[in-house]
This record gives sequence, structure tokens and C-alpha cells, in this order.
Amino acid sequence: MKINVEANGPISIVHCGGSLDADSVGSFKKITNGLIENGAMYLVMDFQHMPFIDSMGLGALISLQRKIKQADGVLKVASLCEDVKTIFEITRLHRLFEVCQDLQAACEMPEA
Amino acid sequence: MPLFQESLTIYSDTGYLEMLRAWIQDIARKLGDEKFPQNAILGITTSLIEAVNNAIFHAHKGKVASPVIIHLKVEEDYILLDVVDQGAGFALEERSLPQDEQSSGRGVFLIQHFMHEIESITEDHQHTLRMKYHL
Repeated sequence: MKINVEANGPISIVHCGGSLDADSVGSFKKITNGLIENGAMYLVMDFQHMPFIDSMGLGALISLQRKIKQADGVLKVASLCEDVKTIFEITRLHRLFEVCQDLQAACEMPEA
Repeated sequence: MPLFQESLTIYSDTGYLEMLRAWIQDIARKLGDEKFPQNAILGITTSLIEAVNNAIFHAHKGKVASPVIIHLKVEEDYILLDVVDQGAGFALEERSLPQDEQSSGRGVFLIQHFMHEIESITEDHQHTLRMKYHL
């Protein structure tokens, strides 16, 4: 998986290119944990180019959600393809995560 | 005589996962929607990946040199997927979905969701997870 991080004001957009699975979770965790350790409070996962997720990928996302919540931060996921959306729904994780239609919606910050 | 059958042997290395997904896509494309429906691809792919992950991490404890053998057979009314490892196997009781915040335990649940029949067969120091998808 190719991961690029884009800063958009206070928002860190994590662009994920490729599948989030047992093979890529290591690098995914390293990068996203690093963002939180460096103070990122608002993370948006851009999954537009992520065609597949397995249970280990789901686990990594859940761990990330837990970490950012502990830091009083926000995690959103955006642009899920149909297959990934199906996996989220089967595992009911569409209830745990804030799932946004697209990046624009995900980057809308709540009014102060 | 099956419509199609093919076998692969891989090492216990997650680097093969992408190749396995492409393998399923390729077979589905070759056979066409009538023999390998588009709506079966996600279920077959997910079940294969989850079964291989189980073999790599649980059966082989990450020992890369341990082989994982995969058999895929397409018949008129079902697709059969066998994933063979050298582990002791595991009990196939009905898995409920873990609590939302739990980060593990969804792999077998996903296989049970997608596949219509599942068998765990252990013999001759080999374990086969046999998964059948009715067409």
C-alpha cells in the first residue's frame, strides 16, 4: 500500500493507495501512529483508491480510532468503494466510524 | 469433470495476498459472469484472504517456509475453495461478531458470512479449511 499524508490546515489527510490487509497494516500503523504521536488531532482516511480491506486492516483502523479518541481527536473515513463499504456493513463498523461520502465532506470541520 | 480447477502453493508470507486477489479476479474474468458471478468475487476473495491469514499467523505462527496450498474448483452450481496448512486446525463454532471496539476476531466471522458451507478437516498432519459457495 502506498500512503501519502497531506496537511490541510489542522486536518491530516491520509491517502491510501492499495489494499489495507495483513501485508500493509505494519506500514499503515507506523505512519498513522506517528501522526498521532506528533499531535495530529483530526485524521481523514482517503480510501478512494483502496479496493480491499481484510480483518487485520479493520483491526488496524479500530486501534487507530481508539488511539485518536484517547487523544480527544477525530477520525473519519472517506470515499469507500462498494466492496469496502460492504465489509464495513457486514462487520457493523459503519456504526463505529464516521464514514463520509467524499473528502470534501470529511474535511468539513465542526463550527467552533 | 469440474468447469475449472487450479491449485497454488505459496509460502507463509503476506506478500502473496495481492497476487491471490489478482488470481481470483483473473479466474472470474476468464470464466465469465455465468460461471463465476461478479457478486461472488468479494466473498470468495475475502474468504481466501482470511483463510490464508489464519494459516500464516495461527497455523504456521508466521514461519515463512511453511507452505500454504490452495485449491479452487468451479462446478456448475458451486465454487469450492480449500486452504491447506500444516497446523492443528481449529474449532468451527458459530462466531459472533466481536464488540465494535475489539480490534481482532472478524476473520472467521467474515468467512462464515460469505461461504455457505465450511469444514475444518485435520488428517496426516495437515489441516484443510474447506469452503463452499453455492451459485
